[in-house]
Amino acid sequence: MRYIYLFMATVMTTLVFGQEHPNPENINNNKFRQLYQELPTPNVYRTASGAPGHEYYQQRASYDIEVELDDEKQIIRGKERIHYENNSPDPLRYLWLQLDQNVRAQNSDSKLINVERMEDFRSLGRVHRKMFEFDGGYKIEYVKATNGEAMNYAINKTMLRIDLEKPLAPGKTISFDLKWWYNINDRMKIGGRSGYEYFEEEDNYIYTIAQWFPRMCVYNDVEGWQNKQFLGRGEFALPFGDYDVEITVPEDHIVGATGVLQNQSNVLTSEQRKRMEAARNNDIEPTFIVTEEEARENEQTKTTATKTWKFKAENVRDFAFASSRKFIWDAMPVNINGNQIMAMSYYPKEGNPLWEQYSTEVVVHTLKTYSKYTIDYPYPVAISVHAKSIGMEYPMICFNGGRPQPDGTYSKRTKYGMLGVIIHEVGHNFFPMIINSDERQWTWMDEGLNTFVQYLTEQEWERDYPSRRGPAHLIADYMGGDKEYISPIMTNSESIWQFGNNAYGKPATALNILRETVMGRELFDHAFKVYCERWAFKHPTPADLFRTMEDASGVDLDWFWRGWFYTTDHVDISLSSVKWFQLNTGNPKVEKAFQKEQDEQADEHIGVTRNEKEIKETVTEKKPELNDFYNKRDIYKVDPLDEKEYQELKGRLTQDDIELLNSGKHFYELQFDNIGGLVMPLIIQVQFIDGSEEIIRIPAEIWRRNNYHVSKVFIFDQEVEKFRVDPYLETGDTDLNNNSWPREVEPTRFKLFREKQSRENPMQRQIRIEEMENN
Amino acid sequence: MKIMRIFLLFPFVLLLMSFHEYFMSFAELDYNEESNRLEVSISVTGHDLEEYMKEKDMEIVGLESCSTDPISMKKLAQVINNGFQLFLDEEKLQLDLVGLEVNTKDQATFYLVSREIDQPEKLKVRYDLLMNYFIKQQNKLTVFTGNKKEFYAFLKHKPERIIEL
Repeated sequence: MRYIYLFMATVMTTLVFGQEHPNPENINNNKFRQLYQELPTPNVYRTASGAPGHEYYQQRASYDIEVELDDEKQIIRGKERIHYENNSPDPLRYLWLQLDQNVRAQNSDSKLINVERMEDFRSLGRVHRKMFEFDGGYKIEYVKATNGEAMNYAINKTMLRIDLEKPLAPGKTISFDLKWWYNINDRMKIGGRSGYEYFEEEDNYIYTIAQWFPRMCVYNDVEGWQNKQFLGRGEFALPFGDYDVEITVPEDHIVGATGVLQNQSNVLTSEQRKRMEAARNNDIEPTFIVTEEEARENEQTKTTATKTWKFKAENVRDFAFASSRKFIWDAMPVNINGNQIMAMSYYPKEGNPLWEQYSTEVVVHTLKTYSKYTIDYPYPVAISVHAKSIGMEYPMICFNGGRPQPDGTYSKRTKYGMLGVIIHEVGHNFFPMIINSDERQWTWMDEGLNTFVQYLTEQEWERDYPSRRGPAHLIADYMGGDKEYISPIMTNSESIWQFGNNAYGKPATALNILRETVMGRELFDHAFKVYCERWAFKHPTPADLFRTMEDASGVDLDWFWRGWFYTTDHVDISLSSVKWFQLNTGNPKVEKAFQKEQDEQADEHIGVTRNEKEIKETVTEKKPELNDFYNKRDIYKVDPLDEKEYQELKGRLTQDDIELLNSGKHFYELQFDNIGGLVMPLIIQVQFIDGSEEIIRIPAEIWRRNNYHVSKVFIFDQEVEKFRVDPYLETGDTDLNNNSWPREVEPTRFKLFREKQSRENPMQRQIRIEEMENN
Repeated sequence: MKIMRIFLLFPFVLLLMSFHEYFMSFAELDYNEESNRLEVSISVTGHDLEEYMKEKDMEIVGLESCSTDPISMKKLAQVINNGFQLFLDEEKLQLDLVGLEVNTKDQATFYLVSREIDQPEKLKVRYDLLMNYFIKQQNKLTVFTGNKKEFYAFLKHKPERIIEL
């Protein structure tokens, strides 16, 4: 394909054609319009820059709790005193608390709202669950003022309202008491973020206890009282506060919890205390506080005596703990900018050998990496507890799966699954435990951001770590094609389809694309850190993230948020056509010779070819006298007038113009079509005939007027052999078949599998080597 | 009204999903003009599949070891062949399981081929793999036709699609 074209432009030109997607409502549907209508109006609490406003406030809830774990009946019994500070400008007539355990009450809405068919009940376990046999809801014994007088309260499913005798005035604090108990759920039978795992062969339990006490709801400038019921998916929204918690458990249990242990001398042996002191001074490897051998011995005891572990935690939004006589316990310090943090792990022998080798090391690595990209980890401890089959996060403590086979072997998949879940759950300390977004409304704000930093952390753990989420190409299958039951990221937590891809994978990928492709690492990392610093120990909303990322980077990203977060569009940018041009030099000797060559090389119609043979003689061949000027003229011959006109042209041109005309530059006009709907930067790899290559990066704003069709002209010194769009798989393009010129067909997975199958395996290769050496 | 009886399964272990759920599988379908066979690959999340097999009382050795364990492969083939079916003019096409790969990203990919057939213009696809256990399961099929890819989503209420090749 080659065209002759008189081309006098000296700059690259963008050609924009008319819109092919007319807007029937005659409203602005441009993908680059600002997000003014979608985002809330900035105010004194939250600014247009994405920072907290000068009148930003947040409530505070502190707790003194005494709790007893009944290891015989698997019951939690507790009483708590809540100190609630009203820092808002509003008087509060009533207070709302969360009763999240009521999600396991027998009349729970979470069971009623499940869409079901009979085929969903083909196992006994499912029938049992459907029969609502387990009652795990709160039994509230009292709600009292600190003077002992009963307070009026009402329970609405997973929420409890306390009606105050007189409104709680701005700046005032109220304290009150609750007493309650509930049955702990068998996590392995009926599920749950917390509960117990029973080890039948030795009659022991591991308790991982969370959402276990009535907790204050968030009251803020965005929603007033956060009053969305807990239906099981959208997690938690909690204010910060200080905790003093006393946990009474069987005497042979080891307890790990949010916060710092206050009474080591009462609950640890002198040997354990000595080991803990040694651990504080050994940052080379984890130090065992309780060894596997000791844990195995401990498993055999079944004491009825109890002891009380006392913990104190400051400025946290929640409190969780784990307790078992099965726990092995190790610890290692990590220094984050002068602050020593104890990274610790609690796990049963069933977790080994994986857990003793990796858990605490991974906690340390996670704290270091997240601190680099967000804020310095501010708490004194970070704990990873082994809980089969789940991953769940709380301040300073998380419950993580990853269990080897009973014979102690494990697959690579188990290993990387375990490393990934520990990184993820420890990472949740930052999102949402510190950068405290509302999980009940927006799962992606903590899961998505956390999965993004998880990816960065995994890649710093091991080169080519097999991250499941983060790289753009891994989200392509999910995003492409049919959109039924695919939700935009900006969807409430309870209404999301495909939770994992929507709230974890897609936002993490979006941030990764911003970092690697749209903004660049330096701008992104700065802006992301600013967001984390601005909203640490506060309650950010999506708008605060969107605005801060733009405010701190100087990059207008409204088009990106709109496309990736508010729509289900996908990336499919097609390189639809390529046209090749060269400048006409104006020199008749050059141009006429070139024209002759082109004409001789031109494809010939089949009729012309056949007529050459079949028409023996034409009329003008028989009678040459019929040929006139036009028949005789050699159009490729350079005549004196051609020469004269060329000299005149040269006289009008500057030396630069003449050099440009004679430069032999190649012009390529590329047409791009946006098939998937998401506007994205164009990343174009150009391979030249001499084997060299060039990467051209064009910002997404090339689509700013026409969102669906653009063209671009590139000028090169040499001929191009191949163009390829998105060569490094940066954008999540769902169809690579239309990304290349000349066209390249993306191989199917089956073809790749077949190619691999046809090759010899390493053992076969070794046999051939040995045969060769023997011969 | 007729009463129907259901047969319950009695699994040894009742496992529960983690909160980081996946619930999607991705298949690719291509007609190989050299071998005159339909070639299919189905990629499914490993821990979803393992949980499904246990729930259905179809114990297998670890996924990584299945390709060398004929009994486990047979069970997996049964699940895959039930969960992904092709119909040509209402005739169900037999798909033979020719390979299984498990990677460290927790993806298990199954490779299947049909008998030799002329290139069909249309096929009916039933792709309800894992849907009778994971309520939110969604499956996506990518069909390669020449230089083009077409995507089809399969949902619990829409487990069958007519595709054009």
